[in-house]
Amino acid sequence: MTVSHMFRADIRHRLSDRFDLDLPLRTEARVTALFGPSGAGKTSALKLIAGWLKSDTPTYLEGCRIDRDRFGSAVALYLRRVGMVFQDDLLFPHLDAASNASFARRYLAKGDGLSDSDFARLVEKFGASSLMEKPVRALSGGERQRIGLIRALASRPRLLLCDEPVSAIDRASRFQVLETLKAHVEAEGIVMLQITHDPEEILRIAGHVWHIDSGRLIAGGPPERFFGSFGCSERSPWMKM
Amino acid sequence: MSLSSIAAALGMTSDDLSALGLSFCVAALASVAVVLTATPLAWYVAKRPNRFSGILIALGSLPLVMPPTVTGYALLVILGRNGLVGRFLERTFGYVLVFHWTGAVLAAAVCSFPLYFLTARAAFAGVEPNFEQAARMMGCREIDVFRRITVPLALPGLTAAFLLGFVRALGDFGATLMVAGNIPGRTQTAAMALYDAAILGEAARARNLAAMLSVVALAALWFAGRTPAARFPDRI
Repeated sequence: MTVSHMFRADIRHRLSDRFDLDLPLRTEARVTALFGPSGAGKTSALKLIAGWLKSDTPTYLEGCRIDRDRFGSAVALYLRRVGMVFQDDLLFPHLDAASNASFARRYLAKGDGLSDSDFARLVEKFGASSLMEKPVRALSGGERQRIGLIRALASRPRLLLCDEPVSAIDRASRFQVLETLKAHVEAEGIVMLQITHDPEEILRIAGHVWHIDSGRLIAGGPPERFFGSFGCSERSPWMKM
Repeated sequence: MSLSSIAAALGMTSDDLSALGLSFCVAALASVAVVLTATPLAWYVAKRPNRFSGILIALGSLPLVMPPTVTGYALLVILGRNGLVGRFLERTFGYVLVFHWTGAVLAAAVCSFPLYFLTARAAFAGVEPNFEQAARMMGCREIDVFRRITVPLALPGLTAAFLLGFVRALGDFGATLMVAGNIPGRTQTAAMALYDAAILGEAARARNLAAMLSVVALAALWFAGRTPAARFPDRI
């Protein structure tokens, strides 16, 4: 009998001679945070899960394997329905904000994509309606991240991978954007994995945390176990031992 | 004032005028042929490097370093009436390339191929692969990645490549002479009319042709130098 987790990936991958990843990742939560020091392998883990880096990482979403089809061959990246929000946003510099935000819409089959009104609502929810006419180079870092989030969500992903998606947004609106994001993934049934360095962000949105260091999963569990339900400690109890 | 009266005022004969016209047509057709053939190859060696890339780049660049007469001679051997391809074309379609303006197009295309190919390859290589990968994750097939991400981002470099190739084709002498000959009014391009004028001691005619070719080349190079990379300075 197999237990079907909300999300499961068994990452075993050699990144270089001196660094390999060994991460048996399991979660039952809709939103899971990847926490750990810089260089721990968090971004590489997301890229392996996404299929961005080629590997044979078995990846399961609610019990279904998403990186291989039923004949065992690799599913092409463009068919995986995995959305990614990048640390350095990767907005296409030759398109304006609106074309970036709606980039994925034309590649979705009819019926899969967002309707025009749903798309407009999505843009409005993330406070980006006034940004749509601007060229990408006229956007601030925080504005770029909002467009990046909308762009990923407009591709109707089943799995959303976020690499510090709100790091450039000012602290006052950061949590508002995160709450909006959390509400959206819950309403749409999206599974979300998010890299963050901010314990407060984790406590606000994540139902599960993976603590990763030097390519290893040090601990996993509910955020309260790591950071306490009030106040925040940068360190996990496992680090103190 | 008609075109021929301007030409007369510049001391140009009707043969010169047709030579200039032929040069432009040959260069335009050759450039189109080069864009169609060299673009996929440039993309392939820039974006899918493998153990064959080195030899492909060498082959694609070869006409750049060969004496144009060698290139022309090679084409003549292959496409001439006794050449392998030439004989086939003549027997099957009754078509003779040599000493015909289509031969000039082919010779000019082969000579300008490396300039377009190498510049386009650099332009494609300069497109950040992360943008392409991000597009794939948003549902783009390879052809859509090429059309909507790679080409638009490489466009300044591709424009420069096209202009370089065009001027090279416009000015080709050696290879065109070998393949198409120098028949006034039929296969004589501007570069060859200039050669005739210089040999015959017609200084004014030679000067005018040289000036015209130089102005076009300078304008194209100036334009090519203006385009690259300047469009997205904040990201690339």
